[in-house]
Amino acid sequence: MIQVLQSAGRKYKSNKKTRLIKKSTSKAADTRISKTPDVHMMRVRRGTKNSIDQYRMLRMFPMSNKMILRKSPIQKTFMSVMALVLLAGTPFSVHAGPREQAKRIYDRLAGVPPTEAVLDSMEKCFSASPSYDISACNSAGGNGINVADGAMKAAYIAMQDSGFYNVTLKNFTASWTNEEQSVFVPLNDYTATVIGMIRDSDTVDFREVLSGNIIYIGQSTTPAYNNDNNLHYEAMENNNADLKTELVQRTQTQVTGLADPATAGVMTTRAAARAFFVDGTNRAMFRFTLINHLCTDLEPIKDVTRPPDRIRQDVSRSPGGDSRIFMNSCVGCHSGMDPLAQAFAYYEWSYPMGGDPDSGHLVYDSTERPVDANDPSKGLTRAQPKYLINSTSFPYGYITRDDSWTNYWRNGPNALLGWNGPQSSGAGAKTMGQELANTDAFASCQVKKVFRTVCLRDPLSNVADRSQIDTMVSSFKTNGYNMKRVFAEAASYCKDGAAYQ
Amino acid sequence: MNKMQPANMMQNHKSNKPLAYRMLGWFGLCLLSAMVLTGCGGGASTSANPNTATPVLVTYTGPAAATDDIRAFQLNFWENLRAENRCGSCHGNGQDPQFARSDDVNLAYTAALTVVDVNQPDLSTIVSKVRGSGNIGHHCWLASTDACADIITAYIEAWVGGNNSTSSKIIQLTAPAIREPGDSKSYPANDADGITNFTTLPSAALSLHGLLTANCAGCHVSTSRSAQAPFFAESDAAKAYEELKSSQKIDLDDPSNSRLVVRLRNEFHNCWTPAGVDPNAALDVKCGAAADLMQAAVTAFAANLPIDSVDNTLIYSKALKLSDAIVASGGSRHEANAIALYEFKTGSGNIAYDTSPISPAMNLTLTGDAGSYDWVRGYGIEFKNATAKAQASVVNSTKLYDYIKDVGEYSIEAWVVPSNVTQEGPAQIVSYTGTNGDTNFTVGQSLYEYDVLNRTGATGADGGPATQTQNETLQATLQHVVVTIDPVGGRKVYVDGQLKETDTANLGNLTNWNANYAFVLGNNQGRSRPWAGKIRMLAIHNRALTPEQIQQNFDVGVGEKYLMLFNVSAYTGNNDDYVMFEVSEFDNYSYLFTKPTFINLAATPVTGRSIHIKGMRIGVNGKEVSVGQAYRNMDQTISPSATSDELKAGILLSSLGTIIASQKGSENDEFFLTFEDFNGNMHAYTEATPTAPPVDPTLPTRPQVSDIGVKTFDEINNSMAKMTGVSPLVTMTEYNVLKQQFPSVENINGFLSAHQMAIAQLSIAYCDALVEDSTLRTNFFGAFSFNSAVDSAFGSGDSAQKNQIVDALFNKMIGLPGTGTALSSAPDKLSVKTELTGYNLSGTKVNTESLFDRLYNGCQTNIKLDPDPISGGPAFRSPLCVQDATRTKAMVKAMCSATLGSAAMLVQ
Repeated sequence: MIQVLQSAGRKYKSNKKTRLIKKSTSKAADTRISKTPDVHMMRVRRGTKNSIDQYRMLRMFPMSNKMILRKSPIQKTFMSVMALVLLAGTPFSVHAGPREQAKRIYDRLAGVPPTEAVLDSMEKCFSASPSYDISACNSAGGNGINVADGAMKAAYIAMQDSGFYNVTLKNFTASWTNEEQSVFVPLNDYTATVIGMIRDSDTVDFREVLSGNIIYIGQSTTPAYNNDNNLHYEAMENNNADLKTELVQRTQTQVTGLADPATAGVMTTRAAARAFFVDGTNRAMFRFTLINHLCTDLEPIKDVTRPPDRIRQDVSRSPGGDSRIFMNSCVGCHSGMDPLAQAFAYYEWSYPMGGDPDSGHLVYDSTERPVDANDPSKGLTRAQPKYLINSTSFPYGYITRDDSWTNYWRNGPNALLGWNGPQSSGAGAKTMGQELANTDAFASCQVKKVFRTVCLRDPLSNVADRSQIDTMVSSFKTNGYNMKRVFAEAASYCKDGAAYQ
Repeated sequence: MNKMQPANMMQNHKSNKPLAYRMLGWFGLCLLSAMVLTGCGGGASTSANPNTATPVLVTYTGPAAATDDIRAFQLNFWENLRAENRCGSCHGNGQDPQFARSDDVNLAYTAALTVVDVNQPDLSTIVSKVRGSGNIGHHCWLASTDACADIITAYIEAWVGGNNSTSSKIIQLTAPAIREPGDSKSYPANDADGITNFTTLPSAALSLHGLLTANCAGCHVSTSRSAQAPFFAESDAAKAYEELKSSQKIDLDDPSNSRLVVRLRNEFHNCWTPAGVDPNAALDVKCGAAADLMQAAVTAFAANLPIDSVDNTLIYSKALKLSDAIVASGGSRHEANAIALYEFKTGSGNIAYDTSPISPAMNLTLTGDAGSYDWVRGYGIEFKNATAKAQASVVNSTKLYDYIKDVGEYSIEAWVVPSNVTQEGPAQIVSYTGTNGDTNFTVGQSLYEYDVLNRTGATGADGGPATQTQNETLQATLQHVVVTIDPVGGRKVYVDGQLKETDTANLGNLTNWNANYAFVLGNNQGRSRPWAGKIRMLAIHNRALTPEQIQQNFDVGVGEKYLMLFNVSAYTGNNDDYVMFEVSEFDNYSYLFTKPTFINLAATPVTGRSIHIKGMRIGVNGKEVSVGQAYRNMDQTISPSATSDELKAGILLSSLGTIIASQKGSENDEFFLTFEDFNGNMHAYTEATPTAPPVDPTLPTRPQVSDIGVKTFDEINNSMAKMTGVSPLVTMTEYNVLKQQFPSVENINGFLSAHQMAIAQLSIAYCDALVEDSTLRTNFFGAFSFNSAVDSAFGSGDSAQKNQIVDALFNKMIGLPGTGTALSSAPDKLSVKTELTGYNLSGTKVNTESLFDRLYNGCQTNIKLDPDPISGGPAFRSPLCVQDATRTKAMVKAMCSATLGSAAMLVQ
């Protein structure tokens, strides 16, 4: 048995870059054990405690045998890590005291545990007793909070931890920046900008996330920001830079060179452009903005009754020869989406043909050119060629000529998204972003995302959660779309099991 | 079509053999077959059996054609129809008009002019006579009078037009009969009545609301996790009813046409199993039963609703049916060299007729299992499953061999609609092929691309290697595909008028084509290469069409087109004012409306008028349709400066087109237009403000969702860094390797053993770094003899040293008592100490299997182990283990790792 393990250990040592989960190797080891399971069990029982534990570990976690012996002096401690796993303590009680509540708030907000001293400070926030010094609570940002809500005050202390920015907010945002919605992506300008905007919640209206000429970069990180790569942000991550202090606010015009009217918050960051302007028709940017910032995909807001006059030529009106599909399904999304996604008509992700898309950069180009070089009668357009592709799928469809957008969803069932923006039509991504960010759905979405992050669950449909969401949405709007406050409110609500009773 | 340009096919033929001679030669090869004489008569319709035999001609010995036009007549029209089994038996034997007489072609020409309209060949007397109506025409020699009429039309066009003109066909617009929009049922005027019907008819459980809430609430409610609009299954009847109304998912006039019914019956959309139906029954049975219930509910809902006339407050035009419209199809296709042409107009039966002017007619026989193929409304055939194919006889297929092989070039032109982009093989769309995989030519589909095979001297018998388009050229939508082959230009593939692929490899002549192959659509002869999709039109040309000719044919489009003239005189005061649409049957389920035009049919239109036209909508069968109103935002004004000619030609209102759902079929659907504003006559459209889903006052059953969760990857890494004081940079290598093995979501139900393995490994890495760094370890544990041997460092029993280690780990990683008390939500100190050292808080030994004990006892050099448990070989001793300072640090690392990697760190 030991020989087997040592052999596996040596194999691992010889190739340290090998992923620890390597099925072929582990399967081999496991197979050898299982050849004579009964005999093996009997003999191991008579063996030492070490071999028993190792055997059990192998049976439980066969893929990890290499690592068990990777560091020989401590190999035998591994099982003891497991021994304490089940010591989770008593279930979190509704009646958990301030200290326990403070611990949970800190864990949920910062993603890391507090020190004993910080926990002491947070615990004091819960009491209005004059004997407690709650200046730390107030100075952390909780000064405007009702004294009775000590949990919110404590939350502001938790949000002083760099972990809130480096861990919680980074992973809060990471999945928004790619189509796969993976959290395992490097820090990028989209993520950093959201982190920075939340850090600066007291001065930055979060609605700017979809329209502002704003970006956050590292103030001392090298290499500097580059339109053609993400190395600036990867360096920050690799250096474990403290994002709380390292990030500084700039305009996109300063950093990326994009003219002010062409900027639209995170939608015009490099990461978003790489993910959603690459190839395709730019509808992805609209769809994923809906998913990430209005918390709805297109399916639930399908409305077939909107006029289809802005649906582009590339959408087949008879997919597979069956126009019912278009009339009952496609039109439901495209009739509203296409006139809104027209706002992105001048954007393109440029990269070498056949090359690596990651090496590309965002292009904003409104040069006037013929719709069809061979047919002058079709007139001129400023839109990117991707807006005119597959024009023969339905030649009678809409020909995009500029980046003007119209929101047909202000009427009909999607009026319930709560459109409060200043204009229902306009030109360019900036004003369209304002249209999206000034919806009830936007405010509600941010609140629900924060709730999920802090409470580790979706809000339920019961009265308490619904009421809490309503309260938080209202607070979000009336407090200048201050995201930090939303985090604090969610942390306060979920500080113990009471919210779940 | 240019009427006076008798450029005939023979003169254009590149071959040294004029086509007529080739045709005659072909005919000459045909031995006299039994002549089937049809009865002569004055034109009464008959139902004689079709005579599809090849025309048999006697050699013409009369006077030569006196003019070029008569020569064109002779070659293109007369030779094709003077045979005894065509028109010659009567109109060549004394019955007027004697256009088929064989004694004098010049006299025949004069007679033909009395029954032929050279300006509009399809409106010729001879064509309409043969076409008749209801498939009862005048002595058609085929089973389809339409096919005969189309063939004669092609003969006339070949005679008078040469078909290589690009001039437009002249269409005479005539005013349609005035028809008022019909009546239809509407939703109850009072919503309360509607809701009552919605929830009670025919019974509460079987009402629309009852069925929807019972069976559709998994998705079609706003609170569903997978919410799907429309939300007609809301428990709140008012809200559900409003959703149903606004989405118009039921058809009050034809309940069976309701989307709620069709979705179940035909599309098998999440059917439930109604009571009394075997749960194991086939899907169509269950869906059929569910659809029956739904249809019964719609029927009950609609049963007592009054039939309303069109809302008089609307501003609406007069109505039209397709039968009132002017046929506009035909256009100016380039067909000068079409040797086979299929327009698939028949619409029923199993024969697709070759209506090209070139004999023999290479008609296709449709075969396959029941339902494997279907005719497409608005022309076309659809291949639905693997058994379907349309095949010509080998004998008739030799037309391709005869007309292409020597010329050495040809084009295959088709309007196709692939059903999907998943078929491959290639799935054979059009082929001239043998039974063993060999082919003269094949056009097929491989996923998103078209494949072309053409047999030359340089290819194999299978015509390969294939030429394939690139960049997802093929889409599952209507596409105009033209493949041209010529020995210089090679293989070219045009899609929708654009050149997509050129392949000049394997050039060569076609001399090794095989004359024994058959022409097949939708499959190969052996049915092993099925293609699913529709072919709306197909032509084979024995020329490589030029890009201009291809574009010309693409621009003409496919299918039957109509010009619909909607009278709007009620709002202009001028009886000749119309809004004209070009309409066609888009597919089996919808109409395509394009080119809305304001037009005046008067010989001299009144000018100087300013007419505002805004917010145009299309109505069908008395109601405005809800889907497809592409002209709703239209806002145009006919300028007073529009000239008389412009008004006569029509002023385009919009370049957009739209599709409108068919309701009762093309014979019965009746269309009209409505307007928000037509010349100052206005109707205000207001849209109801939607109401938010009601808040359910009752608490739903609480789902079993955990209130706690686990930390995720970055949180674990940073937590360990913070708890130990070790920089994450120190362990970055280990972390990056393990990163995706950690939990990525907080859901505690998703926690796996693999996650814990990663946590254990990372905790070891952190504790290793902590203990090996003298500053960090002192900060964490305080003064401890890390450089002493085990016994010295840890002392014996419940020693202060052991307690020092345990206290540090507990206070800084688990209990966090600070100046207060330890966390009650974390493991208590007794548990931790007992597990780590085996002593309780009073110093009594309570656990002899503690971590410390196991590490200490396991490190003895004289321990004798069992024989190798696997090999059963000789016993061996444990590796050298000494209780030295290294061992001391290792034991601290072990205790640290056990604490750091525990649930106290993980759970949040």
